[in-house]
Amino acid sequence: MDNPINIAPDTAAQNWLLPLADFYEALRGNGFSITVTQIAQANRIIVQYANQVKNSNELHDYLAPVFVSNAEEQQTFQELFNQFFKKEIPKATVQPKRSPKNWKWLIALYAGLALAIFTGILLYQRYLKRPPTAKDIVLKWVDMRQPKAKLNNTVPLQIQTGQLLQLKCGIDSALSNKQRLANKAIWVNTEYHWGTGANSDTIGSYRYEWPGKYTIRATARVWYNAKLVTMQEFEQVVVVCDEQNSLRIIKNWSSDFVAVNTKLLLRAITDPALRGANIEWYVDGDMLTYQGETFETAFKTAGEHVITCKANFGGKTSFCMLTERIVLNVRDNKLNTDKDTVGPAATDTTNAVGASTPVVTQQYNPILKQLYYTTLVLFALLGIFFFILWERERKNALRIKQDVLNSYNQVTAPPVSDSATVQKPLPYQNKNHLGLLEPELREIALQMRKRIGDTASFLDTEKTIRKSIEMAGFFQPVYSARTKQSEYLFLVQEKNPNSQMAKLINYLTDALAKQNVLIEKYYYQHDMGQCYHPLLPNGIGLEKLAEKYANHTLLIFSDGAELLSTTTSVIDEMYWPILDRWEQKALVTPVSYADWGVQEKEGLFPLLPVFPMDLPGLQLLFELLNNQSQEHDAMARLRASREQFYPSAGLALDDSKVLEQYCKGADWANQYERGRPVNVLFQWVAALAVCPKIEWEVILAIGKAILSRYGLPKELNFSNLLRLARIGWINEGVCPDALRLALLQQLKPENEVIARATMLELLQEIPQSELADDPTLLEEKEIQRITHEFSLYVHNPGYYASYRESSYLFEKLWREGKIKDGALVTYYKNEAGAWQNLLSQADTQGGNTKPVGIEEYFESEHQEASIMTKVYLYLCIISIAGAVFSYFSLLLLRIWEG
Amino acid sequence: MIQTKHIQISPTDADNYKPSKALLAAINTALFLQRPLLLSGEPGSGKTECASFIARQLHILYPYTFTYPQPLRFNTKSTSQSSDLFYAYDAVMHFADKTNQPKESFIAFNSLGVSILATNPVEEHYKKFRNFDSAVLSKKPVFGSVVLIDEIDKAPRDFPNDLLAELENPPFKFNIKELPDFDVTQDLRYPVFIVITSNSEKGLPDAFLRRCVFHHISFPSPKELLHIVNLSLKTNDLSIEPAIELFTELRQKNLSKKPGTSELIDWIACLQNKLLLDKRLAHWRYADADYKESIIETLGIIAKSKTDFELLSREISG
Repeated sequence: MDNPINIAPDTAAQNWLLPLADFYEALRGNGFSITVTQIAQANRIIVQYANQVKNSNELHDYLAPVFVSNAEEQQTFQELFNQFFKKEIPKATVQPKRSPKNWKWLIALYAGLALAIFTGILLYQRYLKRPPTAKDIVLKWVDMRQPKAKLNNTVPLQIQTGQLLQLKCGIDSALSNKQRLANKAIWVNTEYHWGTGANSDTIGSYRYEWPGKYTIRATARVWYNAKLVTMQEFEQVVVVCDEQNSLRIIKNWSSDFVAVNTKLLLRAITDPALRGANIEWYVDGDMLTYQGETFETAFKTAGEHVITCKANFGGKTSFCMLTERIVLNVRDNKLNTDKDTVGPAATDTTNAVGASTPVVTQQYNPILKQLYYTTLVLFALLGIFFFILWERERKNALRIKQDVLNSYNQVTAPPVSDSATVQKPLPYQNKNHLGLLEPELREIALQMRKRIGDTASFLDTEKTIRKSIEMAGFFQPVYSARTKQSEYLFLVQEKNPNSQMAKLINYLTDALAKQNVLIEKYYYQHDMGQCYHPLLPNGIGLEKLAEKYANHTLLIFSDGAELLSTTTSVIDEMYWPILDRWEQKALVTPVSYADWGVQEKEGLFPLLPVFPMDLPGLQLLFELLNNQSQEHDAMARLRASREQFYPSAGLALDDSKVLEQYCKGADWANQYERGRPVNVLFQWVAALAVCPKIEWEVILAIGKAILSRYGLPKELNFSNLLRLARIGWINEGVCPDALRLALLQQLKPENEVIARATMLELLQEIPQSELADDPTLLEEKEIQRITHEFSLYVHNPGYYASYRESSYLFEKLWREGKIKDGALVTYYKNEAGAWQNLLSQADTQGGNTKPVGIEEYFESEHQEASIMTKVYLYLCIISIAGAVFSYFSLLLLRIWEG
Repeated sequence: MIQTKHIQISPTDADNYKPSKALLAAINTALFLQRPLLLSGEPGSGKTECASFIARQLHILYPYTFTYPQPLRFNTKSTSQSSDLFYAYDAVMHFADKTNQPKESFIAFNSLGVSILATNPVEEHYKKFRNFDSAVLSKKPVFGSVVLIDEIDKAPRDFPNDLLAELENPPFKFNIKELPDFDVTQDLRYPVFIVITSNSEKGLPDAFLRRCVFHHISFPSPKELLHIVNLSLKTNDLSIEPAIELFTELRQKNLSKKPGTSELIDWIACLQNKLLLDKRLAHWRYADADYKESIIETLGIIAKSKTDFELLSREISG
């Protein structure tokens, strides 16, 4: 039964080993009464549904109905189940995260980015450059008479006899920029054989003295850093003739444009000193059109037309042939003359040279262009980004200023109360965080429900019929005695409206009533003769109560001081005759048995049974009332169990050290946190100091939050609340300023964060309508809210960014002297930096935090706020400058490329 | 015949009642363990309707075993005794009888008695009982059933304590002390599933609780409320949503008695009737004074005391 049970054995991925024995123990520890039957039922359910449940939630849904018996238990069961079976990531402990704003990081990041870009460029220039290889090198040869045209071996060069021919070899390939820059390191050595039988040379120029057809052979060697990269050879035919430059064309029009059907007359003239040439005319192609010196033609169609004239001096097979090309635009007369003004057609006289080759342009490596494009876009985006941030920061600052002003006016709309205390407490919503009753309290409820005999009787129908039948039909009524459940009258001393002890007794009463204990409850302040009840605003006298509730058991919840006569120190005769009318009565004192003195032992006890309010005391009391023990036995047992009670009355609990010792008396509260001892009860008490006034709801809510953090939610119970209510200042609901400061100083930052967040929740739950009529309450609530939000914001501006406005508002209230909470003011002033608080700043030197006073904080905040605006502006300007630089770099590249 | 331990329900889409996963698991756990299901929750959270849902589902899934699609209901009173669950003996009428009728004719079976009796074949002498024909024969002679013991909190404290023995473990049995020879035991082939509801107004004895499978039904979420209202009013009016939002908001106020779903349904029906369910309701804070006044006039349906009414009125009038 107690062995771990394997759920969902079929699917390895869903196997969970359930530590059921531990879980049942935990349930028992939280007040569940786990029976063997329930465990057997749970095991049956697990076996039945093991293969059906898909996750722990479903398993919980099947198991919970077996173990729980009310809504509170259902909630507790779920929490415990989740603790045991849901592998939740433990909450990270809250550490002070406040550190200077990250503008320095932003600049560093930006500088890093820029550095990375420029380093990239440098690296590219230096390391991505590679020596040119044979594939990279493409050579070109040019005739220096026409340097832009590459030589083509298919078209022979023509030159006049005796004319100087100059050739040059160069690199034609697109090298990277760096390679181009390194052109100095590239050297081309060309050796020429001119085809005349003369010696080869590297000069590149030669004068042919005799007509003829020659073949030039050139060998180029490309050297890079004195290393041979490639060797390429080139052949070019050259025709040398005397007739070069002797052909001239005369035409009968001067413009480059002629009309359709215009009669065109051309005449070829050659040098008369040379041999007679055979003249041929070609129109728009290679088809011979006419032979003869004079050529006449007309074009019928508009467009570009080419007339070529060839002069062959040595017959058709002669190698000496001169060519003249005329390109003209023929236009249609009907067309608009404006259109005719298109650029002049070229009158290309490619004298003796073949078709022109493409012009070689300088090209840069596209990666460089992409790099500049990237930097342009990047810097432009960064510029826009920082502009938006700057604009937002600027507008935010303006908006916050306005909002703060509005909020400030709202908060301080009614005249701020100068009195240190406000009469009415804030109407917190009582959510009654107490979950399960302690087992002892359940036992007490059982004792209190015990039935007792009643004076009334009733007609027993069954017995009456039987008796009547036996009496031959004559009616014979039979009456039976009734029993009834014990009823109680609680008289609770409420020394002040905010008495936490009275509220604890209220809680006790409600809890017992929920357990079906019949209780009537009345209050009194200092005079027991005058009691009151929420439904009886005019009050009710003790005597009247004695008449009305004569058969009830009277329990007086008080220390009993008001009952004692000032002269005789025994119960005053004013009260005793009335009290004596109750057959069963007792006084339940909040004074611990360990603190009992003359008042209890001699003043009260002889006449009235007195029991301490602790659970062992209440148990003894109800045993006595149920006649399960005699009075002297009960007293003897009380004396015997003296060690169960702890002293509180004689302690100076407004001293934080004494208070801590008092809290250490609760064994459960002594825990360890990160290897260091911590008293959870003391942290709970210290956490109450975040609130200027102590209310019952505050004690419960903060207690629940702090105890849950340490995994001790079940310790939010009657016994521990009694321990707190015995602390005088908690009972009165006002913490002395000096003690409050000391408590705040000793409160762990993690717990302070939790306490303040809890307070914010409590404040938010207050219905607005409850405060509408009371500006003082509204102001108190708002100042509390602002204080808590400010505290949380300064602790972790990132996480609590939504409270930023409150931090500005708090500063304004602080400057205007509207924060009147003395302990808080001193706590935050922290002039000597003597203690850690939520303002503490992350120390950039070490991993620790350094204490910061509020003035220092405000100063650094202002600096950081203005710095941020400037930083965004500067980064925006730098980015735009970077973008402009990239743009001009691109422009320069384009210009360089031509 | 089905084995009772295998009885399980899974809701059909056609059913208007949509239980949560946790509630469904609790129902199936109770069916599996053959224990009474104790449901608690605020008024209007659907406890009673849950019993009807179980009866319907069992009838759909096991029509030959659960022939009757309704729960057999026992309304607890402040004077109820445990024997009232099984039968009621009209002693006064018997005493006044001059026709010498048999004692059986003054005994009427109540819900748990009917459910146990119905699991057994009809015997001739059963017909002498006052309501055997109407309560058992009229349905079907032999059947399993769902018994609803409603609002057990109303009963005296002894009532649940006395039930302990009766509900210990199936087979359930009962006898009529006025008829010493009468003794009926449940035929286990026909399950009797007991659903008990409680408003958690006062605690029940621990021993009784230990014998039950417990589930607390939380108050429906706004989405569930919308579904409930749409089903109840047979409408699909979108303007109901802001009404539910307002109701939820008002319900969270510090009311002495929180309104339930029935009050919500009545209230929305009233708003519909008064033509107040329109766009203004979504922005009621900014509505004109007349509209707010009209809303306030309907708050009597939600508020159950003068102070509650005043609180809600203040909230609406701003």
